[in-house]
Amino acid sequence: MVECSERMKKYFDNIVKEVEKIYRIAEECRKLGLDPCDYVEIPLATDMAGRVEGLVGPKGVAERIRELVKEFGKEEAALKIAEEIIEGKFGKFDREKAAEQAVRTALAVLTEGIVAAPLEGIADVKIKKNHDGSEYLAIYYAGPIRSSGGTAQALSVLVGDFVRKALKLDRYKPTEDEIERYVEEVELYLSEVGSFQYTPTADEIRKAVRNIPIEITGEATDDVEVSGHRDLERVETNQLRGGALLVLVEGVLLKAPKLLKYIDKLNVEGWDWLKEFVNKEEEKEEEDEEEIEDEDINLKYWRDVNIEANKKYISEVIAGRPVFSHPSRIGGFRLRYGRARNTGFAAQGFHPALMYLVDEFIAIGTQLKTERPGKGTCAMPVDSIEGPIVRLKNGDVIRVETVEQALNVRDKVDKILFLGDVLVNYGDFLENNHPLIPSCWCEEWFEEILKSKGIKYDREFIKNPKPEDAVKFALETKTPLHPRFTYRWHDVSKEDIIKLRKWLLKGEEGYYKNEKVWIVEKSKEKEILENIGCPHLVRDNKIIIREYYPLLYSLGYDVENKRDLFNEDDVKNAKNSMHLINIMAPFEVRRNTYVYVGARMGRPEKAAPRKMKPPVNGLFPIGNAGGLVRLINKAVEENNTDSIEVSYGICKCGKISLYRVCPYCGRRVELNRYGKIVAPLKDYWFMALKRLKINKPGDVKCIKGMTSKKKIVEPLEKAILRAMHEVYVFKDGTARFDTTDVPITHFKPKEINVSVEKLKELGYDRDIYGNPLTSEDQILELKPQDIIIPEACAEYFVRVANFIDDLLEKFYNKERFYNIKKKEDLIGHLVIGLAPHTSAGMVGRIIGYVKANVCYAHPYFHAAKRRNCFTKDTRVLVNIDGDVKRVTFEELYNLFEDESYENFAYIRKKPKKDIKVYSFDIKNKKVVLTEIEEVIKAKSPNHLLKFILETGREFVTTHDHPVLVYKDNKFVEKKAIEVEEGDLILIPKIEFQEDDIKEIDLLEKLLKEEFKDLWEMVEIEGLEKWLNINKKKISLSELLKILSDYNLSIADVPKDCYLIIKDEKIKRVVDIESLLKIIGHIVKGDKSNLILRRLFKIEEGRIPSFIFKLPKERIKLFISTLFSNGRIKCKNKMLLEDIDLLLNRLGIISSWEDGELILTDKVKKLNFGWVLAVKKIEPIVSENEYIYSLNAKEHHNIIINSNINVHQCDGDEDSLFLLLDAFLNFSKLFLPDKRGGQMDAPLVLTTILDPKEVDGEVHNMDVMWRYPLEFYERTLNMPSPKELRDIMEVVEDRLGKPEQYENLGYTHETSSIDLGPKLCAYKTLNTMLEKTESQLKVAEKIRATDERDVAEKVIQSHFIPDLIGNLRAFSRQGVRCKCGAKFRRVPLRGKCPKCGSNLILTVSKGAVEKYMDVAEKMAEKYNVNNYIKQRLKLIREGIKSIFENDKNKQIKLIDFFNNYKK
Amino acid sequence: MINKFLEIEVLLTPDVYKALKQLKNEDIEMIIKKIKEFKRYNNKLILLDKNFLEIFTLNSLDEIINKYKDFDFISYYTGEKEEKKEEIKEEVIKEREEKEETKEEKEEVKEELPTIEEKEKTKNESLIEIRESFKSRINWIAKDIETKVKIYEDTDVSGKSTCTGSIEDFIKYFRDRYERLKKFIERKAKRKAKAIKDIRKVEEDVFTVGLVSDVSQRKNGDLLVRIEDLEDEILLILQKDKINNGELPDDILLDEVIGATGMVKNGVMYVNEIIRPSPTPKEPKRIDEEIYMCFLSDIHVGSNEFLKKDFEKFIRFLNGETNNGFEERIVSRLKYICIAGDLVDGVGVYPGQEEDLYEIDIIKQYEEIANFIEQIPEHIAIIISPGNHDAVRPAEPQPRLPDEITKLFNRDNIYFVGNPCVLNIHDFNTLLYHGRSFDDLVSQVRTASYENPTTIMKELIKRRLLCPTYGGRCPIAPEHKDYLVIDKDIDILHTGHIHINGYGIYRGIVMVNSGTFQEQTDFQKRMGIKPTPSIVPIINLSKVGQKGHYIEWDKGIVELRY
Repeated sequence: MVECSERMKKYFDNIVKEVEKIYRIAEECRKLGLDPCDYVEIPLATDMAGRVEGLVGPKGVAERIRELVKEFGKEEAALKIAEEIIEGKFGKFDREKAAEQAVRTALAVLTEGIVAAPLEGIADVKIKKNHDGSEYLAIYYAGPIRSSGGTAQALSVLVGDFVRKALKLDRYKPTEDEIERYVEEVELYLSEVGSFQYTPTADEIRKAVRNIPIEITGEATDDVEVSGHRDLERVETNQLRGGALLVLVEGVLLKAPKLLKYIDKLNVEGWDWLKEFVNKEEEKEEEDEEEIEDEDINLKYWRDVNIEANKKYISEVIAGRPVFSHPSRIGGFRLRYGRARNTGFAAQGFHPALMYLVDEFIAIGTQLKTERPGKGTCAMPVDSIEGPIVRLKNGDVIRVETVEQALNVRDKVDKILFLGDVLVNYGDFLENNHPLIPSCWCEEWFEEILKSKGIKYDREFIKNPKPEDAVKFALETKTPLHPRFTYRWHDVSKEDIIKLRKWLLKGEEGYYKNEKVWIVEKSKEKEILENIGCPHLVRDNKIIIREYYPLLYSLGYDVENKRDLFNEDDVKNAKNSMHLINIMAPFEVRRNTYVYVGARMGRPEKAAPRKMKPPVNGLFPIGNAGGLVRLINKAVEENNTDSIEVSYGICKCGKISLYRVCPYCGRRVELNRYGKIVAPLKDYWFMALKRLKINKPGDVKCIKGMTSKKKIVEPLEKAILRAMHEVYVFKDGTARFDTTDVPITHFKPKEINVSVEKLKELGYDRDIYGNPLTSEDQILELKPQDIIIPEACAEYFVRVANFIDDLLEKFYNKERFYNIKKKEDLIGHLVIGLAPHTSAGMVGRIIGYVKANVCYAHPYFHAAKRRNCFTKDTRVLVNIDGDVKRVTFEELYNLFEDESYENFAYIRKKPKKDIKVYSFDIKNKKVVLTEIEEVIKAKSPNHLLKFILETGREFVTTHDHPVLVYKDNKFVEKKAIEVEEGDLILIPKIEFQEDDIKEIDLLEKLLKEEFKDLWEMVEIEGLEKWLNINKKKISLSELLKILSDYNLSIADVPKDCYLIIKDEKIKRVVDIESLLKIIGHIVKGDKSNLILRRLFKIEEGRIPSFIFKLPKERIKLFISTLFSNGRIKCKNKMLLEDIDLLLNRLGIISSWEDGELILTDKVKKLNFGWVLAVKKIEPIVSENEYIYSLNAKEHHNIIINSNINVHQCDGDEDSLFLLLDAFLNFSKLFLPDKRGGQMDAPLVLTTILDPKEVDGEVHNMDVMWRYPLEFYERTLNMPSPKELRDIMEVVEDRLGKPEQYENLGYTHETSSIDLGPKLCAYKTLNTMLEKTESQLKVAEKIRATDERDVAEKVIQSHFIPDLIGNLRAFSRQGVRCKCGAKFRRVPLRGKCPKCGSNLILTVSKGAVEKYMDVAEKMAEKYNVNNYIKQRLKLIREGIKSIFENDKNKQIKLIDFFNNYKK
Repeated sequence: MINKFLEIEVLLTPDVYKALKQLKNEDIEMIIKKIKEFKRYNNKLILLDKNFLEIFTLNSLDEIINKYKDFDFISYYTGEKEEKKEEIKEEVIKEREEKEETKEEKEEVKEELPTIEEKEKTKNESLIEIRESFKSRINWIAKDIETKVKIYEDTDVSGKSTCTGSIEDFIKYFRDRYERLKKFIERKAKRKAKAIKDIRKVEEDVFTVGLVSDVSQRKNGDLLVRIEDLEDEILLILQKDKINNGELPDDILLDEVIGATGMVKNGVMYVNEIIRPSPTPKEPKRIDEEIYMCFLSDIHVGSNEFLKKDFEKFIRFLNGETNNGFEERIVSRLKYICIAGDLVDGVGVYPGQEEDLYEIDIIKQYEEIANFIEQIPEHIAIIISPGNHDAVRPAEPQPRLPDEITKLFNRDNIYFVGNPCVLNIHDFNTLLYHGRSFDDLVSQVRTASYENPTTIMKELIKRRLLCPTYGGRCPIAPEHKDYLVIDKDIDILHTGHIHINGYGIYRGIVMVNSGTFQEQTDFQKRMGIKPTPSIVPIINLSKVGQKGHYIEWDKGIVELRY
């Protein structure tokens, strides 16, 4: 069960209960045998393991997966389960079948059981033969493997290797031809099909193929043939094997670092070669890094930031979809950090006023492509951010701040000077791993500054200041000028500022509409005023400025005292415009915007019932009998029929039955025959009507034929009932509604058309402030599985619900279930949400509907359905207390090698020695030894937390590090920053494997290379006899020389000699007791012995490590030498920690005070350790540049996370369907028998949403109520988002805790989630001409957009390819007949061979020419470049040449001349 | 071996040494014997180079003695020739005059297009350079040979395009293909074909002709071929064993026209023989006069990969910049140049092409190639047909380049034709076809490969169809007549497109695939295609099919291939 509060538990229980209830209803109906299967075909799963079993099996695997995941983590469990399947733990299979099952199940575990990849992405697994006769394993990948994401793809290969080894097969030994085939295919794929995220070199491919121990092959995915390495014996196809290439390139090669991690962890042999591929990712990242100019520190807030524009999003411009701003162009979007309740998780906030001003091309939910942080985003209305600044046709420049105002002025707008803000949450940057760009100067920042300085202020002043007040406030409090009046001085030159100033100062105060204003004669300097975004009016050729106070003060004119504060000479010193303004102004003027952000429209939002092409009501095949529209009623009327290919049976009554219950006599029939029969349309039609007791059903659209393998038909009754309710069916038997999904975390009852009473029933009893719910204006936090559907969907679902009720009543003879009359009645009912390309649905509950064409749901809900393109790094626990570690983190780090740089942290994976870490196993409550996966070094945050516990212990960690806190006999994970004073922290009892050393040979130890410098200094005494020399002492280096000369080893040297250095003499072989005593004294500082100090590193104030492992008796002896008067005095903390560890072993806890160690019994002792209260937590300034961390295996007491950069997929469109509909009508047997057929089908259903198991992208969403001042300040240095991770709380920090579901925060309010256009203009405009004209109109209107470039891009990326494509299609086209027949080329007969009718071309002249005129006109109007013009001309000529008869032309010419003569 | 030659006072050039090593001992002995004999007539030191090696290998001793007994080997090697210097001077002056003329013409152009002044200037400079190199002592024999070029107008679509984009166009198009190829097949079978609708009842030895509409393979290996005629269709069964023992072909392509004989049973035909309209094998055509024809295609001016230097070198060669007597002989008798398309790289041929062009203005691309062409001596006749990169419609058959382009070529003795087109060039029926359909054929026919273009060209000849399969990469304009049918009895088939040189003779028809002047492009690199740039095939029309008739200009070096 997931971790949650009681309230949430009740909520989940209710959902599960309801699901089970509906399930039972469906089971009852299914049992009647009227459907292809007698049971509900969607297995329920509460978790991943359940889904895996439901998706791929084998039976009984779920339980084992749960166990393994708990013990080893997901990835390892996947491999283990594969092994166990091979071993036959889940039933006996033959070798190939077992291998196949193992690979599929393991891949399903890796992909969380959500996507179809394990089913569809793996076409086959075979055991094939090498040329030397040995056997190897081959995995056949198919296209849908794409849905599993790179890491899982890569791991599937590793799984394959495991399976191979388990089956004792040899490696795959590719021939040269086969290797070259991969090289050719990758290149061909890149040129003909698409691109990979990473382009490998030919040599890399060769290397990989040579070394990968299994064959990565697959079926043909694209109709592109290789020209070189054809007809290879072991490669079945000459076409591209897209799935295999994907796995090779985006899997194994691109994800090499991750793959290696598992390889190291699991000790898989034979993958060392992969290490060469590890640095790929970092190299790429480094290129992306942007540089900040070195500058004067004073200029920090004013400097010009040089960030290269990111043009990627605009590389393609689609016809009819406007560009709102070119990359980084002045006047584009201003990036504002924060999250509103309807943004986050790839949805960003835009001002609703802007949505109207760009001619409604941005509607709620419209997808945009933005320059930063990149990728797609959904537009959501947020009205608490800055709106656009526009110039009206009369010259007025105004801020448009409300929707009403936007609607009023939109016809008068001449130019949109600034587009306003785009609200982006920190999490989006974290997700995309885009360096944070400097924050704009905004109200939130301003407020944080005031708070930090303890300045009192009025909230109203922040939100809506008066110009005079802003100036006064800035002067009085010595704070920067309020953001609202901080103009964009940086967008104009210093000269302009001077000009503007001179001009403005010619004006004077006056009155306009009873308001004190500044009035100045109109002049060309007005443009500068526009460019800095200062609102003004133009009346009677005069410029009227209301905000003249801040404007003139900023320019160094003291309005109050009519005094000019500025000395023109200072201009020279100004480094830039911002600097100049700050020289002029009597207060600080911050830089309004550092970087503008560009954006263009992506896809319009969507909300429509899913229809097949052509749309049908049921899956009953009628061949061509019903004409092109496939109306069965028409076929029956006209007494038509056709042959259909189906499964059928012969009933005992002698009739052919297409159903499993004979419609004639009601007997059960087995559908054991298959083939073409004449469709008994009439009989079935009338029998269905009789059963349903319907006379006139109207038009019922059926299908031509089944595409499924068995071709089992759906009962016609369902089609008839659907038709009566205008419900359409999808290929799997469900009635779906497709809609854009957008996140929401909080809502107001009035926004979603639901009454307060109803909400209370649904469990919404309190608002976010904890007040009881009474009014529809209160803000409520959305429960994770609740959804708010678009009105269109509600209307459709009302029809679907009625269809289901009719079906229950008339077809299954059961009670009606939904009884729905109006949209409101749907509230509380359950649906399934299913994302594209996935196969696992998620249960959701409808709680309201909105006018906008989007489905609002909790970000978790969307993420739960979302295709999982990557796996987040497993959460690993780390021992950070320091009590057990013997080396510092830095040392530890240096003990690792093979450094890589990932996500702004240095990671080392390969230990130089065998290094493990001690950590506490919560479950078994003991300290265990675990392996280290990697050690991490990252830039330190500015501040760290220092925890001081009773007994004087302390440790330092970052804010976000989880700490184990002992509470009510349980361990609770808390984030460091959440730990409170008095919380109990565990000091576990530590046990080591004892190592009873009796004596130590010092000489042998000395031979280590690291002591080489001692060899000259150390002399050996007592070897005269053995060496037969006169010298009493001989230096070690001499001895070694002799030994090597005589080919002797040190073991041959007599044991009873002494080592001497300076005056210190010690036996060569020391017994342990004496040694301990000596060391004890050395440690205390009573004695010195250079050799021992060096050998055991005592000079570092540490206890030699061998001592820790000695038997307890010896430790006692050792410690006793350290004690004097029951205390140990020592200033060295490290040493104290070491001693503490020894005491720990003896079961004694110690306390430290003033450099003294005292034994104590005051602390609470448990049988597995002690718990100490936190005495004090203090933030400290980080002294070091870096912080260190490590990732270890499983059960540890502290968790750190390590984000791996991942890519995000498109696919924000979901289907929703009613739960009962899916249970009743979905059947796998309807699914098409082709690759990809099982995608988008609810093969398994998740009932409870566990945020841990959803797409990791949502884990990065921030959930704070405000961003700290530090955040804003630090963005100026453009850090990686990761660096600020410790001061920002994101979902990930709450995973596995009750807070994961409740009390998520947001920073920006929006008055209504329904503000703004509901329908994107793209969808309201009909023709492409209208769309492109409007697109260019928008471009002309926006200052930040270059319409000529838009025109060029549209022509080049849309019109020309369309024209060329159609022209080409025309000359290769097939023909079709109205009877439905299609032909590759026209038959010589010229008529349809099937029905004799005239044939029709599939590509007409009109289709070819469609865009010719538009394109030419556009090229002319926007004066596009010559290259495009020439291309268009050539295409025009080509079209003419194909569609105009030369002979006619000549005749016309002759006619012309003839006429002329006459 | 070197010693053997030294004994008879003959030095060997390294390449000759290599070449000799390839020869059999007896052949070498023969050469030595010949040289020994020859030395009795002309006892000068001989440095045996490739040219003379050819001469000594291919010619009879008498011929050699006749021709070379007074030959001045020293001046041949040093390139000096006192007596003829004056003549050359005269020629140079002449050329200069010509040059002046062209310059004047250029100036007119300049006025029209002042913006391209700069470019013109540099082009004129390169023109001067080439013309200045034109100071050989070549005796332009070809100047005195009359240009004999006749275009078979019925094979050229230019100005006769009839298609308007209706379905009738497509019907007429395929019917024409069927009807015309049927005649050839009937001629070969020496009997009339039966209409398909009439053969259902007949039992044995039926002969019919049809257009292939479907090809598939049974699990047992039999090939199923559906063919159709104007009224009906029938399924042919080609049994596996007959295919395996070679009685029946396994390479039947969609939309080719085939004849079939066999037995009809239950409405399907069990085939005994497949008859294709292939031309009857013949002796290659030759003429008495020693004239050379050379073949170009795929020059791709405008592309970043265009090998300008090499192409200039070739133009200089045509102007007489030769290395030895052998080259001189060829250039002096070179009379015809065929260019089978892709003169320029064009614009918008593939997405993102602008990145690969140094000149994105197509008119300027043509101006540049026109400039090159103008520098080819005027006595050489030039035939130009377009390719898929040229500024005409992409669908085949393509009409000739539009007037707007052809007017840029300020030169007489130039013929612009469509693609494909058959011309009679000095009694040789020459078919120029760019070769777009090769892209389809390579993946359809097992034996066809890019590396060896003649393997593809053979397939065209075999079927008398330049683009057998409809609907592939090669777009087809549905003209009322199928210009892609090889209607004439041709002597030479000249193609390009794939940028790989190829040469061969099939059924007496010379197949030439001229290479390219474009270096390997990124696209080709990715596709694994290795072009053979800067190699120009040259044919000695008097010796076609005999030893020494096929020559290649290979990046400045002329070598005998066959």
